[in-house]
Amino acid sequence: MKLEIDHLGKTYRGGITALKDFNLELRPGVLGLLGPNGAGKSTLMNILATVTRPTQGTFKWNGVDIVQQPNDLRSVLGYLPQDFGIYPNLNAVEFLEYLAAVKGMDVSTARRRINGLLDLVNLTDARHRPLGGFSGGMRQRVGIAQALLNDPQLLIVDEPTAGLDPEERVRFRNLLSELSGERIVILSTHIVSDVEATATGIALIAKGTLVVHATPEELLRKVEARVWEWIVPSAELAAARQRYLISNTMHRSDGVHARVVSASGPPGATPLPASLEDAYLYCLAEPNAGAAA
Amino acid sequence: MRTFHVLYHMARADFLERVRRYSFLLTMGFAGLLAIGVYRGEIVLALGKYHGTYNSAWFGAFLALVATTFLSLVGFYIVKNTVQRDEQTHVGRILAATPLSRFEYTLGKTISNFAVLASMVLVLALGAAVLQLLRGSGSIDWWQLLSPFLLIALPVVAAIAAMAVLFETIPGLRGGFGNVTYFFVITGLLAVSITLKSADFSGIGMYMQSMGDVLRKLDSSYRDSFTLQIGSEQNATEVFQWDGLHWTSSMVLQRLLWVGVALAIAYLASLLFHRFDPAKESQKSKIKKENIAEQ
Repeated sequence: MKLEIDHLGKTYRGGITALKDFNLELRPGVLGLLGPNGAGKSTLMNILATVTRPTQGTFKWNGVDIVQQPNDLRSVLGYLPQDFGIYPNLNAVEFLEYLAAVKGMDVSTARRRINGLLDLVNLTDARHRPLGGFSGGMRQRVGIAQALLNDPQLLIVDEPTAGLDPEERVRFRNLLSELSGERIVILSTHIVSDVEATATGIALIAKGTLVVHATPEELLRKVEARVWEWIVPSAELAAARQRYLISNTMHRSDGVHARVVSASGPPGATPLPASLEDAYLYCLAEPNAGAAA
Repeated sequence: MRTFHVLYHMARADFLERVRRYSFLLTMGFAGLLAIGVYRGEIVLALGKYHGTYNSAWFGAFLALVATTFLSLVGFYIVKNTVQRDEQTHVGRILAATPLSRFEYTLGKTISNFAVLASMVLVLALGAAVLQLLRGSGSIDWWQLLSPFLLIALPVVAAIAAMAVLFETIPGLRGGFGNVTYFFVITGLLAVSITLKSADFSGIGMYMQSMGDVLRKLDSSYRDSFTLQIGSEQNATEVFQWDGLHWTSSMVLQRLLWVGVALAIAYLASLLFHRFDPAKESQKSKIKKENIAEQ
């Protein structure tokens, strides 16, 4: 099982380039696709989900060119788009039956699979309630259930935790971890903590280009001995931000505890263990850091 | 077989989604009001000073013509939002990531539109049966009562259902301009129905011919007057006996031709359909989607 992305690019009408010269090779596991808003993540997701075509390059699924033969991937693909919507007057079973049919599943297989998935996403009790009355988290669980209907080999989820409360977010991350295994999962998000718990690989994307593709450990090594805690008076915080890359701040009685990512710590700063968020910000701020991976 | 399975589920889901809305109940209620309007003599079918004997043939033809005229003018606007809904909810992008073909999609949506409009035809068909029971003479002749709905009204709504999908797939015709364009297209088609036998979309021409033939034998002064209007029955005081259309195979084929036209329109729509490619979706839809996402 292999997904090869080869010099992929997308330029929209009007000349806006959302993705350029993007290369990646993926094998089973969870890839966290991280990047700021507008980095090109959704464009890449749409291309990989065969929703839109690239204007440059191609990508292959097990050696088959999917830009030329999209149906070869569609039969083994599960896709949860960003801002997933529903038909509010259908219940979960009716909605999933509809999408199962569209995915080419027969009635008995679909029913069996729907029952299992509703159980997996903890919606069995709500299965006959109209989707319009579901909370954001419940809708998202319906979304992941539909993406898994055909037991996909490639699962693409685009910003799946947007709009979820913290408890639902944790539940979703756990679910995603359970689902990984003998499939490729691409999790697109701008929330670093979403990928921290689940990803076996991380790709950072900014301004439509791949900044770095590495394992979480490799990324963490980039900022090893480069993260510091520095206590500064609140009045000096703005000036500190000018001089250093600050990944987090917390106000305390003795001043602002700033988390600084820097090769050499500010005077009086104490070293801290690095987090993926530090590495993410460091790689985005230091373009050469990614190239060194 | 796979295609039928897909079409069934696509039409079923879309149909259920729409019929469970209050707005659908309102449209069904309006269809019921039309039947009541006929019962109370507020909607009139008259040929000069004549109206038909209140038998199954007359009520069937009368209500079927009400259905075709009303749904030709209004039905399009009732069903024209199904592709847009898939765009705005992003369900379309999920569909785009499946092996669903463009034609399966536009045909499935056409069938769904057809099912919604056919429900309204059904209300009027039931209305015709009730009218026959309340005001009719003789027993119900089910074929004469229902064949106008089956062979006149349903092919018309099939074509309207497909046109609604086609207009949604053409960027310039999705909005207000499309609504105005449709109005001119359909009023033109209805006008042609009366004058050109080979393009009798609404079936009015068939009835004018059949009823006119009977009347001309009865009254040599009759001059092809045929009106379907909201008004009073007072001017149509004379009664003539009309026992319905005698369907020949060529007449049936002529009506089925409109089902073929509907399929052709659905196919044309599939050629123009953007398959939810965000690079091809309209700017208006994108703005609406963003609004939905923010809610």
